[in-house]
Amino acid sequence: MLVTPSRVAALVAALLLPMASAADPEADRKALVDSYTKRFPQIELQEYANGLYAFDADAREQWLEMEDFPPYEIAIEEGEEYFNMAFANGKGYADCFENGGVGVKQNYPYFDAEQEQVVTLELAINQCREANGEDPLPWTAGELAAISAYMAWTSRGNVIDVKVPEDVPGAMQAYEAGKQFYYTRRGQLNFACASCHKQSAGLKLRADRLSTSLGHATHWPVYRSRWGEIGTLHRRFQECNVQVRAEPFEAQSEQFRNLEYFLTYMSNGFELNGPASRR
Amino acid sequence: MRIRLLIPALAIIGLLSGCAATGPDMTTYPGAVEAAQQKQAEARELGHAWNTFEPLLRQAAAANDAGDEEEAIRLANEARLHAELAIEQASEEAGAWRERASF
Repeated sequence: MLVTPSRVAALVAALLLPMASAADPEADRKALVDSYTKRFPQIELQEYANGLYAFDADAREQWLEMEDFPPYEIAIEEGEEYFNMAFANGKGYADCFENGGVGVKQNYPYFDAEQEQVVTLELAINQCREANGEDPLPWTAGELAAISAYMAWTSRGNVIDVKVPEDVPGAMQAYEAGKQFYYTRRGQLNFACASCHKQSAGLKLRADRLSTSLGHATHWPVYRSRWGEIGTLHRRFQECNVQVRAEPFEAQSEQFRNLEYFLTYMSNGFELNGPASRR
Repeated sequence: MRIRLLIPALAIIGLLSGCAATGPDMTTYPGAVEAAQQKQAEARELGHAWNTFEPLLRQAAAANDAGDEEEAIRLANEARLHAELAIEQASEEAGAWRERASF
């Protein structure tokens, strides 16, 4: 392997990481909540789960009208059908999840001690398929997104409760890696997630108002008008990467799963309100 | 005596010319592309590759196909520059993100 200055710098930074202040997800979450509530005292906490519609009255009105006939309804119906379809071996998704897969989304993602990685709901869906002799589904749209939409629907109103256990090796590192990703500038435009969703939250970027990271994880998967279909959170991560002119990571890559872990922890205490519709 | 000095001298010359000869020749189109791809591979390994790289390389290939080698080399070297900037970004961000993460 070629030893380059940048690799040396990354190695030094990695070695210094444990020496930095000890990771404290709960302190991070409280500080993030505090930073937004001080900036936007007029917005009720649970409203952050509605993203830009908490900030933009005109957009909110249009969104509420759409909620009369939600565009994600078809995905929920299809997702329920897929969910209840038996695999070739006679088993089904209900056999893979606690409580038969109903009302469980608030516990995802979680750090699996045995697998030594973050497991998202979408990863768990495909792991269920593979464990039962089925081929995995594409990650970002279609059947998997529909199943995720159905499971999100059955979990609506449940309170996000993601854990980063200190006694599980790797969990805190995964959380910290997700946090690092969130704050790291990337792409030719040199933006971090935080550049838009923390620093510039509530402000306009071209025609759109930027949502806060608080509440980001509550409402996925999402029917985005620009997609014309329902899509997953990692699809949005990829899109954001592309928008800042970075090569996107693969959906359900370790980097994106760690990012989802961090982001969802930040929304602990919020009620799930997915699936949702967005512009 | 002269022969005894010649062998180590030749070895030194060989080493020096070997050092000068490493790395692709960026004054040629294939060399410029190879150099660019090496840098992009490094940027990808660091998780910081830019998506501006591939379009530039495609434009370089198109220029080369059209017989404009000078433009092809220029574009391939520009792609290499994007990859080098991405590597520099990775290096800076390895420490800088933490300052941004303070509340």
